[in-house]
Amino acid sequence: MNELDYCIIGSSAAAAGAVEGVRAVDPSGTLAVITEETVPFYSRPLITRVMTGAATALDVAYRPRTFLDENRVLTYIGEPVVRLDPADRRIILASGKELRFRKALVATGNSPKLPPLPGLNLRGVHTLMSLADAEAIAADLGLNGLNGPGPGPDPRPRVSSVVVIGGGLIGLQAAEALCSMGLRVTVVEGLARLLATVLDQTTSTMVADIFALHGVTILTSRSVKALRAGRADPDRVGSVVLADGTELPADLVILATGVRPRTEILETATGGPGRGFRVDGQMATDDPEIYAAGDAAEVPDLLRGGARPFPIWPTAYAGGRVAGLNMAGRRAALAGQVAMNTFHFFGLAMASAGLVEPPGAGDGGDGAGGGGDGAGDGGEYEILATHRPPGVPGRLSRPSGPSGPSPGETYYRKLVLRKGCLVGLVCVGEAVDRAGLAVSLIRQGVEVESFKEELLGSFSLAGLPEEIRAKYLSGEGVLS
Amino acid sequence: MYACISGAMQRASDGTVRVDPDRCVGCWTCILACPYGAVVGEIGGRKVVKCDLCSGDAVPACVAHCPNGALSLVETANEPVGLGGVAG
Repeated sequence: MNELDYCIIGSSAAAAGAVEGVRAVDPSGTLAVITEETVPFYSRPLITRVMTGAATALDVAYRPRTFLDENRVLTYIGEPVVRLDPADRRIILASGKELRFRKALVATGNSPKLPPLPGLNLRGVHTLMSLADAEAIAADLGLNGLNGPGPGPDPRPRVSSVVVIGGGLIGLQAAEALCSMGLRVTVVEGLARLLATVLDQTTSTMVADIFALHGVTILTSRSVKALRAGRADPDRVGSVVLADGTELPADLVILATGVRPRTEILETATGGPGRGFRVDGQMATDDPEIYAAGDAAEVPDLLRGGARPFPIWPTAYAGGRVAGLNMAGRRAALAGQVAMNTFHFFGLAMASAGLVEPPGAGDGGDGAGGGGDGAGDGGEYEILATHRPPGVPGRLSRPSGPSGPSPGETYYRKLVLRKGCLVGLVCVGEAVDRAGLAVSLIRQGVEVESFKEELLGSFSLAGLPEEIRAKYLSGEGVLS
Repeated sequence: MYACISGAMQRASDGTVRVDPDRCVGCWTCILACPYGAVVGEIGGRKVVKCDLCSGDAVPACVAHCPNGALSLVETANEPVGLGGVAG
């Protein structure tokens, strides 16, 4: 077949960024998106809503239905890629088709990292990474999309107890959603605290407290030994057995024990076994015609140096866009990245960015996004924090209503400074407002020593020193 | 806008950044990503709000009605270079 100008493998944030980046420069070149997904360009962070039946695939679309037509995208949907052949400039699909390309982007994302446990293949054991995963869980819960239960008796087991293995973002979002459906939920985390890679100790405790308040059992520093079938059905999970022998009833198990970059279609372009794709500032691999972006690519780490995957949506989109611009001939570069995450649990808003603890501090938390360097150079670091209401750190007031503490009841902001520059941020409740301004101070390496106390309160651009404000107002060099 | 996970926040043709409340899912990623601190959570709700320069009006209400004439609407030559620095 004819050679395509641009082939994009994947259909999530990086792929959308690449389509829009290419089309910003080249309106007419042939552009194809190849994806194993049957629904392209949905928002992966929103699949929990599909899992609970609160939304359909259409509801979680990331781009409007007109996106593919407007950008003149040829599509290969539901088409897994077997291999990208760099020498022959070919992409080989599982269906047997072959596509020839001039430039390609590999945006294959992550796959779940599965613990080596007996019983992983039992029915009722799920991962939660894709729309298909979410739909499979919904079916297991007896939800039939938004159409209600089908006619006739429902052969599916009634689920009442769920065990979520992994207390990271995916696991906790699943736990909250399933708890809100009235299910009995237990979260088992191997590390000493929840969300250890994105929160500090204080806010980890807040999260554990709010889950406990809503009836979710949180077990930390506990590992799982096996998944065991139930008595009623030898093929279906019935319990989770912990290393200490505890057996937790489980009609449904969610495995959320981390992710690994999906690199198998172009293993030669990675930084080594288990690593992501190695790319330059333009997101090109060692082969200048083949690019990589998204969760599977290792991008520059502003605060720690070096490169690693930043599995967050904004970085995926930005990296994809940079790749698309370069593929179409406009030079662009991705700046050093800063981890950032924001989430709500039972109505409590939280956000973190950069290094949430000085490297080497804490018990398992080594800064947002993990990968601690353990340099032990704590002397360069300074921590400032404000916490309302005062009292035991992490202690939440009892909920006044069934919805739990209102976001206004808790205010926590912690700043981590290194040599007078802001390098980390953790916020809870109203402290999240305008956090982006602080994130941009991190990005731009602004010296904040003279006004650091201001940053603990309800700061805004108007409260910053004149010379910094002037820079923002002119827009010069502001990384958004 | 690069940070928006639902597609709710877009730059309109007049250059203003607007959020479609029907598509906003209240994830607040934009609050963390906006370098100006211009996006905040709505009071008593989960969605986000930001100034849209009174879209449709030639002059925003705050500029038109500032009793001291201290506010003005100006356009800058420098566009922010994009999330994570899509520079060059």
